[in-house]
Amino acid sequence: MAQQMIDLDSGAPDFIEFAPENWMDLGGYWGRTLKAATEKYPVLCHGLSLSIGSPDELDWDFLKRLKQFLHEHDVQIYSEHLSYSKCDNAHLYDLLPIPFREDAVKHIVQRLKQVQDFLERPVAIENVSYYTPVGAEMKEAEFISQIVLESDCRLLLDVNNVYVNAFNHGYDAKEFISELPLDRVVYIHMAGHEQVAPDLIIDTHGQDIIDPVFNLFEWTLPQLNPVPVLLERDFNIPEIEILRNEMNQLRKITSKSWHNV
Amino acid sequence: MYKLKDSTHTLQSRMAGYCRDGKPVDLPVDSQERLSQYRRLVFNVVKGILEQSYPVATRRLPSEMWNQLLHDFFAEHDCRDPQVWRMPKELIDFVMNNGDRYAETPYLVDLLRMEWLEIEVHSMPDKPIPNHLPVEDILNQAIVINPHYRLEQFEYPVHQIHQLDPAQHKSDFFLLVFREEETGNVQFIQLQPFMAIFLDTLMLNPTICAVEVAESICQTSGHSVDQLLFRQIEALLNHLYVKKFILGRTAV
Repeated sequence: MAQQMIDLDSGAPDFIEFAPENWMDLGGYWGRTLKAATEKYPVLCHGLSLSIGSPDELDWDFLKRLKQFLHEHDVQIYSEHLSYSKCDNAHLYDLLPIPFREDAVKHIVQRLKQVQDFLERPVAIENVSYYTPVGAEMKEAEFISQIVLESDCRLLLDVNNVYVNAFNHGYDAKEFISELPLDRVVYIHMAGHEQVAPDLIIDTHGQDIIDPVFNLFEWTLPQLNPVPVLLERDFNIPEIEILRNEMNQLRKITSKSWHNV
Repeated sequence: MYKLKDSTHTLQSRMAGYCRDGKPVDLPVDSQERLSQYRRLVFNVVKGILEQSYPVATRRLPSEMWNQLLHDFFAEHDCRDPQVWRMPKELIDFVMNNGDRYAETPYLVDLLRMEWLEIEVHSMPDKPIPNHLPVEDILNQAIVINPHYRLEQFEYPVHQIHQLDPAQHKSDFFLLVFREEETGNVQFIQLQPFMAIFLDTLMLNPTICAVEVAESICQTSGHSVDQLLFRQIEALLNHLYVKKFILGRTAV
């Protein structure tokens, strides 16, 4: 698939996104593939291992390597998940929900400021999907908003995650989006998901985007400045024509809302 | 510096611990069933990466033993690497440090090491290739080798695992593992012990030719220097040249 994307002449995406952790320090075939991809497309990076919500210390060695990588590949936006994936000095390689609490807000704001200072660039933080809150003492939208505003970071709005969380936790997706600091949104993610039970959706990135998520996206756009929109697909990847159709559908909606795009 | 409250830290630790070992935990969540999704999702990521990295070990070990190994690894071992694709390397340390548990598969460490070598060599950062010219006299010219390689010693013939039971053939085995420059594919070549020492010395001394290296090793090891040995060395070097592990001779 990577080579197919590199070879595309028409109908190519405007940019690509990848996780820096999956490509750092790679040589050989994958190193050459990365070079070809970054020469052809503008690059945005979406991290997996920063673990901004972790109780552990920040990993400065990792941050040094990350900074170098972002610089080398001229990465235009670096985003991460508002979650934690490392705890008690052990990586878990997945996104765990942070307790929505005041002390967690202060802790994360402090860490985000340190990271942004060190990387010498703003970080965009993504609202993540979660399947149960853990010891929550405040609303999710309030938790996200306080962190974004107090750390002066940017927001990556994952519309599918809002839909998934609204479904799983029984809240109104539009109301939730309205409560976020939308002037800080610099990037949007769109993806598919899988409903595994009558009351539970898992955010898989392995399916096509469903219409209600397209509708929520369309409803959201007029409230935002034009920003890059990513179609995420991590596995169960279909033929490139199907992906192109999804990209075109996203383009159609964005050009309707953002006339100059 | 602001410090996270102990109560919040404890919640996060318990959640992470549950994801690692799956043991019931007291957490203020909306639904225990929903909580169990986290254990399932987290463990599936780890299992998937490990099985992708170790396809031979996955098939070779009885599934109950393999699954127990993965469970124990993730529950007991603190994964240190922020890059998930490198995490499987830590399974080797875990098995080495818990050898008693895996005594019935004494070659397991070697098997994991061999499978990991393929990934490591395939992905190792690019190194500069020195200028080189076609070889004219492979025994007497300083040669240039492909820098993307590992030369490793094993106790069991895990590279022949599809033909024999490695546990029954404990000995010394040497594998040269290298990456083809053009395709990026990884090649494995078994070497006799003397040839492994010879090649290792040759690679560490890029300005010295094969004949000088062989004579020096023979002097220190008491090996006799004869024409048969030189023919064997020449055959090996020619084979490695054809395979493009030897790239050429030094261009001065």
